[in-house]
Amino acid sequence: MKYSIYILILLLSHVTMVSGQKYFTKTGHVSFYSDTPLEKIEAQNKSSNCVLDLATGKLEFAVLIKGFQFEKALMQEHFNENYLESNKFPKATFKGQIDNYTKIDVTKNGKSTVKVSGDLTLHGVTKKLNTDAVVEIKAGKIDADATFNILVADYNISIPSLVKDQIAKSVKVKVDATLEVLK
Amino acid sequence: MKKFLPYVLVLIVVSGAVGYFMYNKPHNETKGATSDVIISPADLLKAYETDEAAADLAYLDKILEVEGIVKSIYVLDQGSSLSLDAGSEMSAITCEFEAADALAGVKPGDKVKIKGFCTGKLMDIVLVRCSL
Repeated sequence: MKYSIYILILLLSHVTMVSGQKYFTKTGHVSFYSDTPLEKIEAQNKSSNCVLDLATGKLEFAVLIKGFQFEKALMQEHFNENYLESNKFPKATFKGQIDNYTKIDVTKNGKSTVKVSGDLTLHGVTKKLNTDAVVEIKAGKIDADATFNILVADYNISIPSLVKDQIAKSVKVKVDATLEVLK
Repeated sequence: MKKFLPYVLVLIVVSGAVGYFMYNKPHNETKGATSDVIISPADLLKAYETDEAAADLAYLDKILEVEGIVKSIYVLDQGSSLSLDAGSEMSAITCEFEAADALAGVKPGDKVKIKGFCTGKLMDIVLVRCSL
């Protein structure tokens, strides 16, 4: 009898733990940088979605292509109409996991580096992506930062030869998201 | 030949100027612009939940005017944003503003009218380059 009470307490505490293990944001910041001697191009998206399940390490990102803001309207137009064809492919997604997710302890403030791997889908093309990410716990929130490079050609994005010197072949992508517990 | 030289020069200058202005043309703004569609947050969400492709076709890149109750205000690294209640637990309308101080004086619970360019739906429907 005594044991069954212990087991019950154990089970209950487990349930509350599991329910508090999904983290998310709707305001993740995704930016990218194309740097060539002729032209520096950068764009920001402030409303990317991210869900992280700490029980399994599963991680998902989604971003609306039309949400990227450029300094120059003309670049934004070309990006949407010619390169990313955002009417045809309105979203980019990442589906993967944090491989060493058990390193993340949300009860303690602190920083750790984790490995992220998964599939990035962009412009209708899906490719494997591996990157390091820095995860910082601040008062129960998870601040995640990652920087990686993607090759424009990998995603079937064709750049006309007229502007090929203005646009980098490898584009740097930065992700910065603060995840809160999903209630 | 000499006769044509001035015309050729003018042509070069004009095409150069046109190119320069095209390159630097400003973003379309929502402030003071006429809305393409006036719709309630709940109806907009319903349209997206019923048929996302059709809703994209109808609303993408259009200036939408939505009026609703502010659910929350987000602090961002750049600019600011808020979410408008669309009568759903999971989904709302996210409205991005370019200026960091665009939402000074606005607080959750306020009723606001917002114009913004529709960029589609993730969990929320996202409007960008918004104005109050």
